[in-house]
Amino acid sequence: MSQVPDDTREGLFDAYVDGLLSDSAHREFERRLERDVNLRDELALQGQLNEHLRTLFAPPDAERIVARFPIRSTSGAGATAWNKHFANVSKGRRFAWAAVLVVVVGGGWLLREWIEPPPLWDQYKLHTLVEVYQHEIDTGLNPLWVCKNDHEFAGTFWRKVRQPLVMDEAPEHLQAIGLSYVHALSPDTTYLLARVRSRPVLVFVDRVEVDTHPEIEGGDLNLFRRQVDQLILYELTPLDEPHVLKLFRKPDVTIQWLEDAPLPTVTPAVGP
Amino acid sequence: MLQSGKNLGTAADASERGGDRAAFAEQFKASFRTFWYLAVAIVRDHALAEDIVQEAAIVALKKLDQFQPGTSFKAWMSTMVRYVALNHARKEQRRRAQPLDEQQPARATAADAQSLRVTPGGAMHINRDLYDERIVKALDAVSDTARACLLLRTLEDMKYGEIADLLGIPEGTAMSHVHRTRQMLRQKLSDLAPAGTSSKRAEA
Repeated sequence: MSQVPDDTREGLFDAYVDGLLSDSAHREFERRLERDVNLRDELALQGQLNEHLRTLFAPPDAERIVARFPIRSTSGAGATAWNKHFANVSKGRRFAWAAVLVVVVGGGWLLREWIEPPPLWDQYKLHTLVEVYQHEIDTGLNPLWVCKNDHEFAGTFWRKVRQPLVMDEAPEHLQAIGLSYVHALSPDTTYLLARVRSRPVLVFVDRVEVDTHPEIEGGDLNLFRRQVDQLILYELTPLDEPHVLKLFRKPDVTIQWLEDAPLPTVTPAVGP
Repeated sequence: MLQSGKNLGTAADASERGGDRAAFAEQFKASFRTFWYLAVAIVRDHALAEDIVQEAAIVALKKLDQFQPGTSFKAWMSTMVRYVALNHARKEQRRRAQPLDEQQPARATAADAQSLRVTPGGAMHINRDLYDERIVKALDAVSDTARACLLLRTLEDMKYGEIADLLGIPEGTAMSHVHRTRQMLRQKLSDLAPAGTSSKRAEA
């Protein structure tokens, strides 16, 4: 510790709180505490503040974050290192692998998966709407956020795209599952995952100024567009008509209400 | 697998020792609280801070070959976290500068107020009573660096020298940030001193 606490009241107070006083100075400060009621109060207040800070800024579970980033990077160092891993296998093991390759030509795709891992999902990389749809199908419609009420739902859109949205009550054949975001129209494209008559449907939401007017060609999916105030909404669906778009509306609420919106529940991540 | 320690080593080393991702994850988890405090000090929102730390981790994984062996992983990763968080904060500032807010209606309904009271919040809003609200508001008035210093010192029990190294500021500045911010909080919240403290008893 190169900094020496100053000997003013505040200096000693902070040094005491930081545990930086020498033994003798520490004893002297505690004697002073016994005499000085204001100093005792200030110390109690500081303790209370620290406890509140601890609660207010409690970190989330690190495991949850780790579970969300890519298992293996497909670009740069990660990919190189992955390839090196295979290159470092001994000659004997390489021969064994070669033998395996010859024997299991028919099921070779499994080994190929090991040698060349499939592309990983990176929500920060630019994706087409159809790619996002396919990813969600592959991972079983797993949203990042689940909202318990309109306040959380509106607040989530407010935080991501700066305009709140709520959904009117869904008919029985429509099940809203949750929200996620991805780099599609912009890095903040937020989307609703839903099932309509058991078919997966996604509704992508972003600000009108980033609208790229995406189109899809061929395939079994249809894309429908609707604007709600300053937001553009795209419903990507295997059905012939949109079922979810019409349920969205901009709520009549204050900014303060939105700023105070509780955070949605974060769901456990699933692998690619 | 990497041994827990200060240095990560090179990407190739990490690979040879059992895979980049596993080594990275181990080091990431060991210092996660620090990254979290740095992010939340800048963006002041739990959900965003979580996104920031995650994004920084993804960036770091992609740039793993740029990590210098023999240097601190925590410091390297902290730089990424701060970079991503500051970028986000700047972007947010630009957004707020747009007249978008004016488009929002300025009327809260009774139902809105009711939802606010009864709805359980996310992490940052848990126990967000008057006291917490005032702490958050008071902390809004200080710089990102001062908030980071306070959180790292108070909640991570980090030494001033380490805070200084992490944030690239002199040690005395880190100490000064913490002391001033503490003092400011005590002044602004002095009327909410713990019930039953000596002065209150004396008054009674």
